[in-house]
Amino acid sequence: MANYSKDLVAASSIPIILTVLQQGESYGYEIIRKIKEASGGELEFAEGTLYPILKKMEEKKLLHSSWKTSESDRKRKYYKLTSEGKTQLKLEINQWISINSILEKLWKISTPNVRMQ
Amino acid sequence: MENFNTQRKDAIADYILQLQRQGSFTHEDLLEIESHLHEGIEDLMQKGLTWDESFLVTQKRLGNVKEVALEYEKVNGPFAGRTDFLYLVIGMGLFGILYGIWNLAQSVTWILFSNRNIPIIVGFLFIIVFSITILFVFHKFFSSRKYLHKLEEKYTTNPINVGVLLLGILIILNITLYFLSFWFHNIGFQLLKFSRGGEMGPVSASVLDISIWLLPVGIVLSCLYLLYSKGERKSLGFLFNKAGFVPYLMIGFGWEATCSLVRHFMSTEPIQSTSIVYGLVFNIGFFFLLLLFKGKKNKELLAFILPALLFEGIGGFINPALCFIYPISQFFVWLVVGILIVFGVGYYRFRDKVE
Repeated sequence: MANYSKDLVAASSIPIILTVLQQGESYGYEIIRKIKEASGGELEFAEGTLYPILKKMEEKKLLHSSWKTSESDRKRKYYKLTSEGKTQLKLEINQWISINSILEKLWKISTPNVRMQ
Repeated sequence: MENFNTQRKDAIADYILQLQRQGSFTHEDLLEIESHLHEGIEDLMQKGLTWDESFLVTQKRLGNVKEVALEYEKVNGPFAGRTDFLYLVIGMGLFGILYGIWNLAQSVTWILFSNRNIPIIVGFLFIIVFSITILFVFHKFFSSRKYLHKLEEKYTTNPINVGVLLLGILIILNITLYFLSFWFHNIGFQLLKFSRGGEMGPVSASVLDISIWLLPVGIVLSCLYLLYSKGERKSLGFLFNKAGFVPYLMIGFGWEATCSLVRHFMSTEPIQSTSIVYGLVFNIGFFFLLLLFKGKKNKELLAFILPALLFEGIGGFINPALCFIYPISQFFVWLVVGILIVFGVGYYRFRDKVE
Protein backbone atom coordinates (compact mmCIF):
# COMPACT_ATOMS: atom_id res chain seq x y z
CA MET A 1 0.00 0.00 0.00
CA ALA A 2 1.32 3.41 -0.95
CA ASN A 3 2.09 5.52 2.09
CA TYR A 4 0.85 8.95 1.09
CA SER A 5 1.93 11.86 3.25
CA LYS A 6 -0.76 13.65 5.25
CA ASP A 7 -0.03 16.89 3.42
CA LEU A 8 -0.46 15.28 0.02
CA VAL A 9 -3.74 13.66 1.05
CA ALA A 10 -4.95 17.00 2.42
CA ALA A 11 -3.95 18.89 -0.73
CA SER A 12 -5.59 16.39 -3.05
CA SER A 13 -8.78 15.91 -1.06
CA ILE A 14 -10.69 18.82 -2.61
CA PRO A 15 -10.03 17.87 -6.27
CA ILE A 16 -10.77 14.22 -5.45
CA ILE A 17 -14.11 15.06 -3.81
CA LEU A 18 -15.03 17.43 -6.64
CA THR A 19 -14.25 14.69 -9.18
CA VAL A 20 -16.34 12.09 -7.33
CA LEU A 21 -19.29 14.46 -7.09
CA GLN A 22 -19.01 15.31 -10.78
CA GLN A 23 -20.53 11.87 -11.38
CA GLY A 24 -23.64 12.93 -9.47
CA GLU A 25 -24.81 13.72 -5.95
CA SER A 26 -23.60 11.46 -3.18
CA TYR A 27 -23.34 11.11 0.62
CA GLY A 28 -20.27 10.83 2.87
CA TYR A 29 -20.03 7.06 3.14
CA GLU A 30 -20.50 6.56 -0.60
CA ILE A 31 -17.92 9.25 -1.44
CA ILE A 32 -15.37 7.45 0.76
CA ARG A 33 -16.21 4.10 -0.86
CA LYS A 34 -15.77 5.56 -4.36
CA ILE A 35 -12.40 7.10 -3.42
CA LYS A 36 -11.22 3.77 -2.03
CA GLU A 37 -12.37 1.91 -5.13
CA ALA A 38 -10.69 4.42 -7.47
CA SER A 39 -7.41 4.17 -5.57
CA GLY A 40 -7.60 0.38 -5.36
CA GLY A 41 -7.66 0.72 -1.58
CA GLU A 42 -4.35 2.58 -1.59
CA LEU A 43 -5.64 5.92 -0.38
CA GLU A 44 -6.50 5.40 3.29
CA PHE A 45 -7.45 8.24 5.59
CA ALA A 46 -9.44 8.77 8.78
CA GLU A 47 -12.98 8.73 7.41
CA GLY A 48 -14.17 11.16 10.05
CA THR A 49 -11.92 13.85 8.63
CA LEU A 50 -13.77 13.82 5.28
CA TYR A 51 -16.84 15.50 6.75
CA PRO A 52 -15.14 18.70 7.91
CA ILE A 53 -13.63 18.99 4.40
CA LEU A 54 -17.09 18.63 2.87
CA LYS A 55 -18.33 21.25 5.29
CA LYS A 56 -15.53 23.64 4.40
CA MET A 57 -16.26 23.11 0.69
CA GLU A 58 -19.92 23.84 1.33
CA GLU A 59 -18.98 27.06 3.12
CA LYS A 60 -16.98 28.04 0.05
CA LYS A 61 -20.14 27.33 -1.97
CA LEU A 62 -18.43 24.61 -3.99
CA LEU A 63 -21.04 22.10 -2.79
CA HIS A 64 -24.67 22.13 -1.83
CA SER A 65 -26.02 19.71 0.75
CA SER A 66 -29.48 18.45 1.64
CA TRP A 67 -30.85 15.75 3.98
CA LYS A 68 -32.78 12.98 2.26
CA THR A 69 -34.28 9.72 3.42
CA SER A 70 -32.87 6.58 1.79
CA GLU A 71 -34.88 3.53 0.65
CA SER A 72 -33.91 1.85 3.92
CA ASP A 73 -35.54 4.78 5.75
CA ARG A 74 -32.21 6.21 6.85
CA LYS A 75 -31.42 9.90 6.80
CA ARG A 76 -28.44 10.83 4.68
CA LYS A 77 -26.82 14.14 3.92
CA TYR A 78 -26.34 14.34 0.16
CA TYR A 79 -23.81 16.63 -1.47
CA LYS A 80 -23.79 17.88 -5.05
CA LEU A 81 -21.61 20.24 -7.04
CA THR A 82 -22.65 23.85 -7.46
CA SER A 83 -21.72 25.86 -10.55
CA GLU A 84 -18.82 27.33 -8.52
CA GLY A 85 -17.79 23.75 -7.71
CA LYS A 86 -17.78 22.80 -11.38
CA THR A 87 -15.64 25.85 -12.22
CA GLN A 88 -13.30 24.99 -9.33
CA LEU A 89 -12.98 21.42 -10.62
CA LYS A 90 -11.87 22.68 -14.06
CA LEU A 91 -9.34 24.94 -12.34
CA GLU A 92 -8.07 22.09 -10.16
CA ILE A 93 -7.72 19.76 -13.14
CA ASN A 94 -5.63 22.36 -15.02
CA GLN A 95 -3.48 23.04 -11.95
CA TRP A 96 -2.82 19.38 -11.17
CA ILE A 97 -1.99 18.61 -14.83
CA SER A 98 0.32 21.60 -14.86
CA ILE A 99 2.06 20.59 -11.61
CA ASN A 100 2.33 17.03 -12.88
CA SER A 101 3.98 18.13 -16.15
CA ILE A 102 6.38 20.42 -14.26
CA LEU A 103 7.40 17.55 -12.00
CA GLU A 104 7.80 15.16 -14.93
CA LYS A 105 10.03 17.61 -16.76
CA LEU A 106 12.16 18.19 -13.65
CA TRP A 107 12.45 14.48 -12.95
CA LYS A 108 13.56 13.80 -16.54
CA ILE A 109 16.33 16.41 -16.22
CA SER A 110 17.66 15.64 -12.77
CA THR A 111 16.97 11.95 -12.27
CA PRO A 112 16.09 10.27 -15.55
CA ASN A 113 15.46 6.88 -13.94
CA VAL A 114 13.37 8.05 -11.03
CA ARG A 115 10.13 6.62 -12.40
CA MET A 116 11.77 3.26 -12.95
CA GLN A 117 12.75 3.04 -9.32
CA MET B 1 -33.43 -9.55 20.89
CA GLU B 2 -34.79 -6.27 22.13
CA ASN B 3 -31.99 -6.24 24.68
CA PHE B 4 -29.45 -6.63 21.87
CA ASN B 5 -30.96 -3.74 19.96
CA THR B 6 -30.82 -1.54 23.05
CA GLN B 7 -27.18 -2.44 23.62
CA ARG B 8 -26.37 -1.59 20.01
CA LYS B 9 -28.17 1.72 20.21
CA ASP B 10 -26.29 2.45 23.45
CA ALA B 11 -22.93 1.62 21.82
CA ILE B 12 -23.60 4.11 19.01
CA ALA B 13 -24.94 6.71 21.43
CA ASP B 14 -21.82 6.32 23.62
CA TYR B 15 -19.54 6.94 20.66
CA ILE B 16 -21.52 10.01 19.61
CA LEU B 17 -21.36 11.27 23.20
CA GLN B 18 -17.58 10.86 23.16
CA LEU B 19 -17.44 13.06 20.07
CA GLN B 20 -19.86 15.54 21.55
CA ARG B 21 -17.70 15.96 24.63
CA GLN B 22 -14.85 17.17 22.46
CA GLY B 23 -16.95 20.27 21.91
CA SER B 24 -16.20 20.84 18.23
CA PHE B 25 -19.28 19.31 16.65
CA THR B 26 -22.61 20.85 15.85
CA HIS B 27 -25.80 18.84 16.16
CA GLU B 28 -25.91 18.26 12.40
CA ASP B 29 -22.28 17.07 12.33
CA LEU B 30 -23.12 14.44 14.91
CA LEU B 31 -26.19 13.30 12.96
CA GLU B 32 -24.03 12.91 9.87
CA ILE B 33 -21.44 10.83 11.72
CA GLU B 34 -24.17 8.71 13.25
CA SER B 35 -25.57 8.10 9.77
CA HIS B 36 -22.02 7.14 8.65
CA LEU B 37 -21.78 4.61 11.50
CA HIS B 38 -25.05 2.96 10.45
CA GLU B 39 -23.96 2.82 6.79
CA GLY B 40 -20.60 1.33 7.75
CA ILE B 41 -22.09 -1.29 10.04
CA GLU B 42 -24.69 -2.33 7.46
CA ASP B 43 -22.08 -2.49 4.71
CA LEU B 44 -19.68 -4.66 6.71
CA MET B 45 -22.44 -6.95 7.97
CA GLN B 46 -23.36 -7.65 4.34
CA LYS B 47 -19.74 -8.76 3.91
CA GLY B 48 -20.18 -11.32 6.69
CA LEU B 49 -18.99 -9.53 9.83
CA THR B 50 -21.02 -9.58 13.04
CA TRP B 51 -22.65 -6.40 14.35
CA ASP B 52 -19.99 -5.93 17.02
CA GLU B 53 -17.13 -6.45 14.57
CA SER B 54 -18.72 -4.10 12.04
CA PHE B 55 -19.20 -1.45 14.71
CA LEU B 56 -15.58 -1.67 15.86
CA VAL B 57 -14.19 -1.53 12.32
CA THR B 58 -16.40 1.42 11.32
CA GLN B 59 -15.50 3.25 14.50
CA LYS B 60 -11.79 2.63 13.90
CA ARG B 61 -12.04 3.79 10.29
CA LEU B 62 -13.66 7.04 11.39
CA GLY B 63 -10.40 7.81 13.15
CA ASN B 64 -9.14 8.90 16.52
CA VAL B 65 -11.81 10.94 18.31
CA LYS B 66 -9.41 13.76 19.19
CA GLU B 67 -7.98 13.98 15.66
CA VAL B 68 -11.41 14.09 14.08
CA ALA B 69 -12.51 16.73 16.61
CA LEU B 70 -9.46 18.82 15.75
CA GLU B 71 -10.40 18.77 12.06
CA TYR B 72 -13.94 19.84 12.88
CA GLU B 73 -12.62 22.56 15.15
CA LYS B 74 -10.73 24.06 12.18
CA VAL B 75 -14.05 24.46 10.36
CA ASN B 76 -16.49 25.10 13.21
CA GLY B 77 -14.35 27.09 15.60
CA PRO B 78 -13.60 26.17 19.21
CA PHE B 79 -17.09 26.81 20.56
CA ALA B 80 -19.22 24.98 18.00
CA GLY B 81 -20.35 22.17 20.24
CA ARG B 82 -20.18 24.29 23.34
CA THR B 83 -23.84 24.83 23.19
CA ASP B 84 -23.40 25.98 26.77
CA PHE B 85 -23.00 29.48 25.45
CA LEU B 86 -26.24 29.31 23.57
CA TYR B 87 -28.07 27.57 26.37
CA LEU B 88 -26.83 30.09 28.89
CA VAL B 89 -28.41 32.85 26.83
CA ILE B 90 -31.66 30.93 26.75
CA GLY B 91 -31.20 30.11 30.43
CA MET B 92 -30.77 33.77 31.29
CA GLY B 93 -34.04 34.66 29.70
CA LEU B 94 -35.91 31.66 31.02
CA PHE B 95 -34.85 31.91 34.60
CA GLY B 96 -35.83 35.57 34.75
CA ILE B 97 -39.10 34.80 33.02
CA LEU B 98 -39.88 31.90 35.36
CA TYR B 99 -39.33 34.12 38.34
CA GLY B 100 -41.56 36.72 36.75
CA ILE B 101 -44.27 34.13 36.19
CA TRP B 102 -44.25 33.36 39.89
CA ASN B 103 -44.59 37.03 40.71
CA LEU B 104 -47.26 37.46 38.08
CA ALA B 105 -49.23 34.60 39.63
CA GLN B 106 -49.09 36.38 42.97
CA SER B 107 -50.12 39.65 41.39
CA VAL B 108 -53.11 38.09 39.67
CA THR B 109 -54.03 36.46 42.98
CA TRP B 110 -53.74 39.79 44.73
CA ILE B 111 -55.98 41.45 42.13
CA LEU B 112 -58.58 38.70 42.26
CA PHE B 113 -58.69 37.97 45.97
CA SER B 114 -57.65 41.09 47.85
CA ASN B 115 -60.36 42.81 49.87
CA ARG B 116 -62.68 39.85 49.39
CA ASN B 117 -61.97 38.05 52.66
CA ILE B 118 -60.91 34.88 50.90
CA PRO B 119 -58.71 32.55 53.01
CA ILE B 120 -54.98 32.81 52.34
CA ILE B 121 -54.83 29.13 51.38
CA VAL B 122 -57.11 29.76 48.38
CA GLY B 123 -54.68 32.43 47.22
CA PHE B 124 -51.75 30.02 47.53
CA LEU B 125 -53.61 27.30 45.66
CA PHE B 126 -54.40 29.76 42.90
CA ILE B 127 -50.72 30.75 42.66
CA ILE B 128 -49.72 27.11 42.35
CA VAL B 129 -52.30 26.29 39.69
CA PHE B 130 -51.48 29.44 37.75
CA SER B 131 -47.73 28.79 37.84
CA ILE B 132 -48.10 25.12 36.95
CA THR B 133 -50.28 26.00 33.96
CA ILE B 134 -47.78 28.49 32.59
CA LEU B 135 -44.79 26.23 33.25
CA PHE B 136 -46.64 23.36 31.62
CA VAL B 137 -47.10 25.45 28.48
CA PHE B 138 -43.35 26.24 28.56
CA HIS B 139 -42.59 22.58 29.06
CA LYS B 140 -44.76 21.51 26.12
CA PHE B 141 -43.34 24.23 23.90
CA PHE B 142 -39.71 23.39 24.51
CA SER B 143 -39.81 19.67 25.27
CA SER B 144 -39.26 18.65 21.65
CA ARG B 145 -36.35 21.08 21.70
CA LYS B 146 -36.37 21.43 17.93
CA TYR B 147 -36.43 25.19 18.51
CA LEU B 148 -33.22 24.93 20.52
CA HIS B 149 -31.60 22.78 17.86
CA LYS B 150 -32.51 25.26 15.15
CA LEU B 151 -30.91 28.04 17.16
CA GLU B 152 -27.85 25.90 17.79
CA GLU B 153 -27.36 25.17 14.13
CA LYS B 154 -27.67 28.79 13.22
CA TYR B 155 -25.60 30.40 15.89
CA THR B 156 -23.03 28.02 17.31
CA THR B 157 -20.71 27.78 14.37
CA ASN B 158 -19.03 31.02 15.31
CA PRO B 159 -18.42 32.39 18.82
CA ILE B 160 -18.95 35.92 17.55
CA ASN B 161 -22.48 34.97 16.52
CA VAL B 162 -23.09 33.67 20.02
CA GLY B 163 -21.83 36.92 21.51
CA VAL B 164 -24.06 38.95 19.21
CA LEU B 165 -27.01 36.73 20.02
CA LEU B 166 -26.35 37.09 23.74
CA LEU B 167 -26.30 40.85 23.56
CA GLY B 168 -29.21 41.00 21.15
CA ILE B 169 -31.55 38.88 23.24
CA LEU B 170 -30.66 40.66 26.46
CA ILE B 171 -31.04 44.13 25.06
CA ILE B 172 -34.32 43.39 23.29
CA LEU B 173 -35.77 41.56 26.30
CA ASN B 174 -34.73 44.20 28.78
CA ILE B 175 -35.87 47.18 26.78
CA THR B 176 -39.19 45.52 25.90
CA LEU B 177 -39.87 44.48 29.47
CA TYR B 178 -38.76 47.83 30.82
CA PHE B 179 -41.28 49.67 28.68
CA LEU B 180 -43.93 47.02 29.21
CA SER B 181 -43.63 47.51 32.95
CA PHE B 182 -44.43 51.19 32.58
CA TRP B 183 -47.24 50.41 30.20
CA PHE B 184 -48.76 48.13 32.87
CA HIS B 185 -48.00 50.83 35.41
CA ASN B 186 -50.05 53.38 33.49
CA ILE B 187 -52.87 50.95 32.93
CA GLY B 188 -52.79 50.31 36.65
CA PHE B 189 -53.27 53.97 37.33
CA GLN B 190 -55.81 54.82 34.70
CA LEU B 191 -57.92 51.78 33.99
CA LEU B 192 -57.75 48.95 36.45
CA LYS B 193 -56.49 50.85 39.48
CA PHE B 194 -54.04 48.15 40.47
CA SER B 195 -51.81 50.68 42.16
CA ARG B 196 -52.22 52.46 45.43
CA GLY B 197 -50.86 55.87 46.37
CA GLY B 198 -48.54 56.29 43.42
CA GLU B 199 -46.79 52.96 44.09
CA MET B 200 -46.20 50.73 41.13
CA GLY B 201 -48.97 48.13 40.78
CA PRO B 202 -48.22 44.44 41.28
CA VAL B 203 -48.44 43.50 37.60
CA SER B 204 -46.12 46.26 36.45
CA ALA B 205 -43.79 45.51 39.36
CA SER B 206 -43.67 41.85 38.31
CA VAL B 207 -42.77 42.71 34.76
CA LEU B 208 -40.17 45.19 35.95
CA ASP B 209 -38.81 42.44 38.20
CA ILE B 210 -38.34 40.19 35.19
CA SER B 211 -36.49 42.97 33.44
CA ILE B 212 -34.26 43.93 36.37
CA TRP B 213 -33.46 40.39 37.50
CA LEU B 214 -32.91 38.93 34.09
CA LEU B 215 -29.25 39.84 33.96
CA PRO B 216 -27.97 39.18 37.49
CA VAL B 217 -29.82 35.88 37.66
CA GLY B 218 -28.61 34.97 34.23
CA ILE B 219 -25.03 35.74 35.23
CA VAL B 220 -25.14 33.45 38.26
CA LEU B 221 -26.93 30.70 36.36
CA SER B 222 -24.60 30.96 33.41
CA CYS B 223 -21.42 30.84 35.45
CA LEU B 224 -22.58 27.87 37.49
CA TYR B 225 -23.83 26.17 34.40
CA LEU B 226 -20.52 26.67 32.59
CA LEU B 227 -18.62 25.35 35.57
CA TYR B 228 -20.80 22.33 36.24
CA SER B 229 -22.01 21.15 32.86
CA LYS B 230 -20.01 18.80 30.73
CA GLY B 231 -21.14 20.40 27.52
CA GLU B 232 -23.61 17.65 26.86
CA ARG B 233 -26.50 18.21 24.57
CA LYS B 234 -29.22 17.51 27.08
CA SER B 235 -28.08 20.65 28.89
CA LEU B 236 -30.84 22.91 30.13
CA GLY B 237 -33.43 20.64 28.56
CA PHE B 238 -33.83 19.48 32.14
CA LEU B 239 -35.42 22.83 32.92
CA PHE B 240 -38.43 21.59 31.06
CA ASN B 241 -38.67 18.13 32.48
CA LYS B 242 -39.85 17.18 35.91
CA ALA B 243 -36.36 17.46 37.41
CA GLY B 244 -36.30 21.19 36.85
CA PHE B 245 -39.99 21.89 36.82
CA VAL B 246 -40.94 20.69 40.28
CA PRO B 247 -37.94 21.99 42.26
CA TYR B 248 -38.37 25.46 40.87
CA LEU B 249 -42.00 25.52 41.79
CA MET B 250 -41.21 24.15 45.25
CA ILE B 251 -38.49 26.70 45.85
CA GLY B 252 -40.69 29.54 44.74
CA PHE B 253 -43.63 28.30 46.73
CA GLY B 254 -41.59 27.39 49.81
CA TRP B 255 -39.89 30.72 49.80
CA GLU B 256 -42.98 32.82 49.41
CA ALA B 257 -45.04 30.72 51.78
CA THR B 258 -42.40 30.87 54.52
CA CYS B 259 -41.91 34.60 54.13
CA SER B 260 -45.65 35.25 54.17
CA LEU B 261 -46.23 33.06 57.21
CA VAL B 262 -43.41 34.77 59.11
CA ARG B 263 -44.89 38.14 58.26
CA HIS B 264 -48.34 36.91 59.22
CA PHE B 265 -47.36 35.53 62.63
CA MET B 266 -45.01 38.36 63.57
CA SER B 267 -47.56 40.90 62.38
CA THR B 268 -44.94 43.48 61.58
CA GLU B 269 -44.10 44.94 58.21
CA PRO B 270 -41.46 45.01 56.89
CA ILE B 271 -39.40 42.30 58.53
CA GLN B 272 -37.47 41.56 55.41
CA SER B 273 -34.32 40.08 56.95
CA THR B 274 -36.14 37.76 59.37
CA SER B 275 -38.41 36.35 56.70
CA ILE B 276 -35.48 35.94 54.34
CA VAL B 277 -33.59 33.89 56.93
CA TYR B 278 -36.62 31.63 57.43
CA GLY B 279 -37.11 31.30 53.67
CA LEU B 280 -33.47 30.47 53.19
CA VAL B 281 -33.57 27.80 55.90
CA PHE B 282 -36.61 26.25 54.26
CA ASN B 283 -34.99 26.18 50.85
CA ILE B 284 -31.67 24.80 52.03
CA GLY B 285 -33.58 22.06 53.82
CA PHE B 286 -35.57 21.37 50.69
CA PHE B 287 -32.40 21.36 48.61
CA PHE B 288 -30.77 18.68 50.78
CA LEU B 289 -33.97 16.69 50.69
CA LEU B 290 -33.81 16.78 46.91
CA LEU B 291 -30.19 15.67 46.90
CA LEU B 292 -31.19 12.78 49.11
CA PHE B 293 -33.76 11.61 46.59
CA LYS B 294 -32.03 12.54 43.36
CA GLY B 295 -28.49 11.50 44.32
CA LYS B 296 -25.50 13.76 44.63
CA LYS B 297 -24.45 13.11 41.08
CA ASN B 298 -27.20 15.22 39.63
CA LYS B 299 -25.05 18.23 38.93
CA GLU B 300 -27.41 19.71 36.43
CA LEU B 301 -29.98 20.02 39.15
CA LEU B 302 -27.36 21.55 41.40
CA ALA B 303 -26.49 24.08 38.71
CA PHE B 304 -30.12 25.02 38.54
CA ILE B 305 -31.00 25.11 42.23
CA LEU B 306 -27.94 26.96 43.47
CA PRO B 307 -28.65 30.06 41.40
CA ALA B 308 -32.26 29.90 42.55
CA LEU B 309 -31.10 29.84 46.17
CA LEU B 310 -28.58 32.60 45.64
CA PHE B 311 -31.15 34.60 43.81
CA GLU B 312 -33.83 34.23 46.45
CA GLY B 313 -31.46 34.57 49.38
CA ILE B 314 -28.78 37.10 48.51
CA GLY B 315 -31.15 38.84 46.11
CA GLY B 316 -33.58 39.40 48.95
CA PHE B 317 -30.93 41.31 50.88
CA ILE B 318 -29.55 43.40 48.03
CA ASN B 319 -32.78 44.13 46.21
CA PRO B 320 -33.93 46.94 48.55
CA ALA B 321 -30.50 48.54 48.20
CA LEU B 322 -30.59 48.32 44.43
CA CYS B 323 -34.06 49.84 44.24
CA PHE B 324 -32.51 53.23 44.89
CA ILE B 325 -30.71 53.02 41.60
CA TYR B 326 -32.71 53.95 38.56
CA PRO B 327 -33.58 50.63 36.85
CA ILE B 328 -32.14 51.46 33.46
CA SER B 329 -28.73 52.26 34.96
CA GLN B 330 -28.88 48.94 36.84
CA PHE B 331 -29.38 47.32 33.48
CA PHE B 332 -26.20 48.80 32.01
CA VAL B 333 -24.16 48.02 35.12
CA TRP B 334 -25.32 44.40 35.08
CA LEU B 335 -24.84 44.17 31.34
CA VAL B 336 -21.17 45.16 31.49
CA VAL B 337 -20.48 43.14 34.64
CA GLY B 338 -22.41 40.22 33.21
CA ILE B 339 -20.54 40.06 29.94
CA LEU B 340 -17.20 40.26 31.74
CA ILE B 341 -18.09 37.58 34.28
CA VAL B 342 -19.80 35.16 31.91
CA PHE B 343 -17.11 35.34 29.26
CA GLY B 344 -14.42 35.21 31.95
CA VAL B 345 -15.88 32.03 33.38
CA GLY B 346 -16.45 30.68 29.87
CA TYR B 347 -12.81 31.30 29.04
CA TYR B 348 -11.64 29.70 32.30
CA ARG B 349 -13.83 26.66 31.71
CA PHE B 350 -12.83 26.15 28.09
CA ARG B 351 -9.39 27.78 28.07
CA ASP B 352 -7.83 24.63 26.65
CA LYS B 353 -10.16 24.97 23.68
CA VAL B 354 -9.34 28.59 22.91
CA GLU B 355 -6.34 29.05 20.68
